[in-house]
Amino acid sequence: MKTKFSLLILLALPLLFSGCSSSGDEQNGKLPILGNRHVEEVTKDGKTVQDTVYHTIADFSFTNQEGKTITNQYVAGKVYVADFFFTTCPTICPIMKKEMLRVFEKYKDNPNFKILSHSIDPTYDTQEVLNDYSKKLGIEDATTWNFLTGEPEKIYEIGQTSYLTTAMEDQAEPGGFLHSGAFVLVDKQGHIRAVYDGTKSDQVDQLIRDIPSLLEE
Amino acid sequence: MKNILFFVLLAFSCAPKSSDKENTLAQIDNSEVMQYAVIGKTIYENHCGNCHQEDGRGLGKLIPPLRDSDYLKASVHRAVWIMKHGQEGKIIVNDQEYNQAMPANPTLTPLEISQISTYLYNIWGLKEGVISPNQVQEYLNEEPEF
Repeated sequence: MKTKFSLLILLALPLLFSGCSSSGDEQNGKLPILGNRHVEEVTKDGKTVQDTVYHTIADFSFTNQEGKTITNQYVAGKVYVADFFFTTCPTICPIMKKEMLRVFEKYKDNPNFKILSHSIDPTYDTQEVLNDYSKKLGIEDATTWNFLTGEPEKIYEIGQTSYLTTAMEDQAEPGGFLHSGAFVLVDKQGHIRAVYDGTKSDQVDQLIRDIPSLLEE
Repeated sequence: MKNILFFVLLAFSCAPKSSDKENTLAQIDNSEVMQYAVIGKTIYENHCGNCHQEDGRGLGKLIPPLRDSDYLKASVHRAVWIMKHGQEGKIIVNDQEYNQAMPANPTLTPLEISQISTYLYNIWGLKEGVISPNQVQEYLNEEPEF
């Protein structure tokens, strides 16, 4: 009886472990490119060929907590996570920042990894306010984690049209702004590869597990 | 028997991992306190946990801890008042300065505040007993010293 039971366990083992595998992984282990895509006809070497154009983060120019201008150039060829928050946010931001700290701790020493946290209250969140906020969060400098401010309209626009997330002013919301808790994972080519709920620690665990595959691409 | 244990352990190791979840209510042994604290825990997680975190440890030097916090321990009256009216300006918690405004929660009733405070003052090593709605009402009638 005892041996029979052991055998049963052995048989059940692979089943158990298959239950553990992450659901986010694609069959080939690669994260998909998210967003709309369209096929364009381009002329290459005199021949007309079809080329798929993927959704890409649009050009931007914002200011970080150290007063430096941060553009697409800064993240070109790098993997980064983008999110939207504001320093006086009474709702989900502190949880998002606590979760983002875990991502930061894990990859802060990798020069090819960055974090861009956009303020959706950039009028209040000036460079000085963001600098103070980031220091109190324990982020010594902007080597890895950039807290960005800029023109409100530009930040809302890039949030909605490029990062496909919600970020806008809304007086009906606590704190006066509506935004999602999304962590958007962007690859070296500026394509969105995955979106996670930055308020859920299990989803952030998944993000932490997914980053290396993009760094290796 | 050992095999079963092994099997059970394995199954548990696969459960969705939630980082450092602790059962705070298990620290309460008084049934009256528990009645308040059970609801208090839910209200705490909905109204306070975003900033002070479910584990009560706060966030960096931005949001002060409630767990092992000398500031919280020092005055129930003051804590109750802040839950309702918010707080602004510098405060010192465990020798660390904090200066991030806490918003008021005007919609919280004395009963809800009593449930939150009974929860917070009977976990993480504290054992204040029930902080009743009447007591909360009295605290709210008079602004404490800060």
